[in-house]
Amino acid sequence: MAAVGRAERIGRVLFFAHAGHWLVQLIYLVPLMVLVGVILVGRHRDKREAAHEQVRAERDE
Amino acid sequence: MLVIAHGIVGRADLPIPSELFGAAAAVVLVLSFLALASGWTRPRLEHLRERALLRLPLAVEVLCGAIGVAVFAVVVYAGLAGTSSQQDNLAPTAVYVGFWVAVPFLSLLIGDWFRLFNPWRAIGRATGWVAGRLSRGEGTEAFPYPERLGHWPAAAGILAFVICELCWATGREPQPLAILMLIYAFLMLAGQGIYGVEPWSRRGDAFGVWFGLFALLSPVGRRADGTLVLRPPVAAATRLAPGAGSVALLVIGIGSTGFDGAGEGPLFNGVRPDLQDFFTSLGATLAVGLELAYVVGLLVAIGMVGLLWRLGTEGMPRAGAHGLDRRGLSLAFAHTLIPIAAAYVVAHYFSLLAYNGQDLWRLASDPLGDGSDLFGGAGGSIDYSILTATAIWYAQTLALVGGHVAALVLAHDRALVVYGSPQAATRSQIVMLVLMVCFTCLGLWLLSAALNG
Repeated sequence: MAAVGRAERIGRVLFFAHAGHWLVQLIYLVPLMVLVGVILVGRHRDKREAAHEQVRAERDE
Repeated sequence: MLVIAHGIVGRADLPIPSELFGAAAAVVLVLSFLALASGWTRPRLEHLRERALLRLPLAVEVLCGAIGVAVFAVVVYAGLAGTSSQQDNLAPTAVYVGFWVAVPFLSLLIGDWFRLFNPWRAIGRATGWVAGRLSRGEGTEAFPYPERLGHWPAAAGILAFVICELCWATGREPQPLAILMLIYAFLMLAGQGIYGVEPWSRRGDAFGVWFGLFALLSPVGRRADGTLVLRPPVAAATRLAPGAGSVALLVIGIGSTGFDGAGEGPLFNGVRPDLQDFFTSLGATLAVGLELAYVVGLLVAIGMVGLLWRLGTEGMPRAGAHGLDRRGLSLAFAHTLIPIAAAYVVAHYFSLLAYNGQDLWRLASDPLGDGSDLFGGAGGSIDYSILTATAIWYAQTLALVGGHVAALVLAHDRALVVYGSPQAATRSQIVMLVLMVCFTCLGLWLLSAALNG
């Protein structure tokens, strides 16, 4: 059992130690991540503007 | 150019099969489409937020124009008076790498800087200024630029250039290339003389228009009054004012870049001998037969891209809020082709610029190839170790996928304007999504075929 546990640990270490090799293969995900970021920022901005509008409307009333 | 461009890339040791990259790229596009459908519910790109940086003084414009004219004159002189060796004369590398490849890359980064250095525009403006002084404002008015001409002169100019680059061996030799440069300059000056410097530069000057399209994707812009502005990248593509020939120009650009890749792979090389035999059987020499085979391949590639675009626009519903017909839709969405063209150019010419761009310093030091060493770089050589083939492949993949995601964003945003509701906009873009997946997979396949061929 001890040997299996050690092998698992070594596997985990290798997984992260070789992150440079497999992370770069996910490079095509970068545009998608950027797009999701832009959408989230846009929605946050929309919400903030809507809240400002509401405050302004309430103040006018 | 074939020697210059394509004798440099080593075999890529791809970590996973290129087919898997194609599938992964398609998944990324579909996920991007779904993200847009669910999270991008109102047009965001039609009204740009710009931040003014500084205003360029007229003196800077004059200086840049003078530099542009000087560089043009040096390259023409090198072509005419220098060695006939393509590798040792400045002209071929300056035109096909420094001009045709580096200018679009820089335009993507810092905007329409070529407009400042454009030698034909600079000569035209200087001539106009002198003529205005001599005639004291009583000079003849230029003709109004005809709407039906649109971007057709630019499209024809780019087609002629890519034929010289990819099909016509003589077009890569220094002396004929210099003569072609002079002919082009003459045509530009004639166009400016008839229709005015600015109208012709914005619509008829093939290179000015082509590089200007790339500049629309840049985060740096320039207002008509000369003020430099910062803006979101890609968004300014919505400002394209499409007209006659605009789609043709972009289709020619994408098709020719795609053919440049296909010309190195098995697809074209499989049919090339048959095409060459066909033309030689009609009486052409072997060399001319080969050139004509390349022209046919180029035109077929352009035709295929045009057909894909036609299918994409045919697949969009006509009954939008604006009631656009197929041509109207094609024009309304023409700007979505700009990031695709940029993606193809970056992906295909990235390695050429990284490697052969280094050679510009050696050639600038010895422009005529006569053994001179003006800047101390004549003994330099290309360092091919700066990039591995695998790194090039990743950069190409990123460019292709990024460009097509950008195209999807532009198309979705415009669809929200044209069709009104997010649901209708999303439905209208399903065929466009298929089109983008086709373009991406085609691009990746061409690149991998060229890299492993």
